[in-house]
Amino acid sequence: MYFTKIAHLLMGFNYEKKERFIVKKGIVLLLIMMFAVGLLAGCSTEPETVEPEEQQEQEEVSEGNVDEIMDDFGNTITFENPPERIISLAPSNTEILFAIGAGDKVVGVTSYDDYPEEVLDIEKIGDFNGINLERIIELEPDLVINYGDGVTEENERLLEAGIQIAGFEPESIEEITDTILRIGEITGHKQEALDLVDEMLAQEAELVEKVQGLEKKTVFYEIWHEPLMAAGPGSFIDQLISLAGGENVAKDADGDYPQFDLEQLIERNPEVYLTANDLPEKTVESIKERPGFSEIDAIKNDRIYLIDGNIISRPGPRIIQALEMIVEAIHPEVKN
Amino acid sequence: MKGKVRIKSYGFTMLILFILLILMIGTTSTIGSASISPIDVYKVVVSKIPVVGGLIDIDSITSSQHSIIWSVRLPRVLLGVIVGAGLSISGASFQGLLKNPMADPYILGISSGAALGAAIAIIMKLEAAFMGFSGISIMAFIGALIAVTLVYNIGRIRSHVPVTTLLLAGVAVGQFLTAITSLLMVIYNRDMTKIIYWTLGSLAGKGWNPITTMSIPLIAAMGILLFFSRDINIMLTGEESAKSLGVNVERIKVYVLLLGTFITSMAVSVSGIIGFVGLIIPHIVRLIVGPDHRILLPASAIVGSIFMVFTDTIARTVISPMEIPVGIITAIFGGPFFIYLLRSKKKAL
Repeated sequence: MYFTKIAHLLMGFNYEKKERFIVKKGIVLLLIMMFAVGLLAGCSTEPETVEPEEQQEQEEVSEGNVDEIMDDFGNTITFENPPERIISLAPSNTEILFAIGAGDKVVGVTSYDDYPEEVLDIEKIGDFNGINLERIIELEPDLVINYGDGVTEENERLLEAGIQIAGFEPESIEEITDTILRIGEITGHKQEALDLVDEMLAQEAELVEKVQGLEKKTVFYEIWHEPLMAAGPGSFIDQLISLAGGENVAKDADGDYPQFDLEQLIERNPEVYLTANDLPEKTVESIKERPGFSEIDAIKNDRIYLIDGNIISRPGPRIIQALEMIVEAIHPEVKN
Repeated sequence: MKGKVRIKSYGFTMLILFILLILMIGTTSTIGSASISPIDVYKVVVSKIPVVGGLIDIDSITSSQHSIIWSVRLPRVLLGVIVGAGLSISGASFQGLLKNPMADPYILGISSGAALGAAIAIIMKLEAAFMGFSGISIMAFIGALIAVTLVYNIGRIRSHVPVTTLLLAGVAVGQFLTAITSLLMVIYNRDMTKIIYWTLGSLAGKGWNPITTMSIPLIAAMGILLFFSRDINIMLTGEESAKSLGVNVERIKVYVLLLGTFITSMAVSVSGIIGFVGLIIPHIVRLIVGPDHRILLPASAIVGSIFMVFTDTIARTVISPMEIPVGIITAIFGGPFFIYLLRSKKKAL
């Protein structure tokens, strides 16, 4: 259908994440095999021509004696001097840049960026629907930081323009701190990054200690309600729930953000119901009124919590704040 | 004589299909990802019947099981019945009326109009309910009606509506409205996910409200549509000959388009845009019962119900605890089955 096709295209980043669970491993394997066969068949004569180029690149790197950092997608980022002009294509990465003191180098962000307040004055060069490639190149950045690996064609245009790209897709606290350290190295704010990570880990340990020994509560985290989607075992929300002394009732679902069966939700009967306050009409009352919800313990006992969506959905430095909010929701007794 | 025999056999076909539908509802309501025995399901259902209900002992059933059966599963199955019936019967009548095998309930821009209406309602946060319908449903309904009115008036040449111009107008208006919806989604990208999910369609978690408010007008509209099946038959032989046989072609067109639009818009406004059912089911039914709309329309409605309930049951159970969007299942099961029928009954087309 034409409409849905358009819609799929527009979904861009978000859509890919949510659809991931549908792509069965078998299909992926098949595609990889087809791709491999294609490579073998098509490129049997090419390796000789490719190899020297690679060697040359490696030599250049070792000669220059500069720092080189790998991102999550195999791009090597090398700078003799720290980048002076950075464009961040995700709010989480922007928050990292500001938290490690590289905020003054940021010259472009997305329209979703709203933290810290300074970013509101920075030029908006796109959102998850797409980026304004021409404007980015016009801004002459040294570095563009993607969330995920970005769009291949756009990456190629940026590289052609001599702009380096880095992509990060942290899915756990460890990966978030690792991302912070690498962004710290790339931007020449290594020490600040180390300090930030130390502080985050200390706060995390403190929170985990608070809930140590407390009885585990069953928790459901609603990503979306129409259709019902849960935070699955691959998501960092799942990790936050277990750190906060909760047990995710959707932990046996496949993927990061699976569509979840309402019958299962009622049967598994979570004690705590969490969701982000991402829609003005999503209120505790509206959740209580949903068909079939009245028999869930969390609803019966008024244990529905709306969590700040801008904090919990961003894998950045404020993830510890998100953990704190979840701890307080699951175990309100630790607050005092 | 021959005609009478046919009518009788039509009645027999409908009876069999109806029994199949009842069996399908009976079986699928016992199937679900929650572990509840079929007997408990029937106990809960019977306990809701006024007189006999008191005789049934449902103490052994926990309140959450009760809630799963009564508030979640049954309304979902019944919603599948009315949505599947509505989409199939409008698809069948549009295919006949427009003499076009590619016609489906959405061909005259209904889906684009409904999506635009829903998008506007979502963006403007129209939560005001009217007679139990949400603001989104009402706007989707109005959007669909406006889209079809536009298409009809663009396609009209003086007092008659040639099928070709109607179809082309449908495509053009559909694309235009889709573009506006896309534009709205780009501008108000905060609401984009909500709009997308509305358009992808789902029968999950709707509860009883859509069924109690919609089933009567929907079934009434389908019943009225059946009265036009003879006229659609005659119009299929050519509009000129239909006119000479005393059929008011233009008026019939308006009525059938109105009813089909009404039915589809109702279905779409509550379930979103579920594809494939309204296109393929009429073809499958035509291959089985033949091209007479007197049987094709009601049979399509029931087969559409059966198919919709069946595919939605797969969607909600096959990868439990997760769900698959039902539109994917309708295509996965309907596509190959239709190809099989097409190959084995090629000559019948």
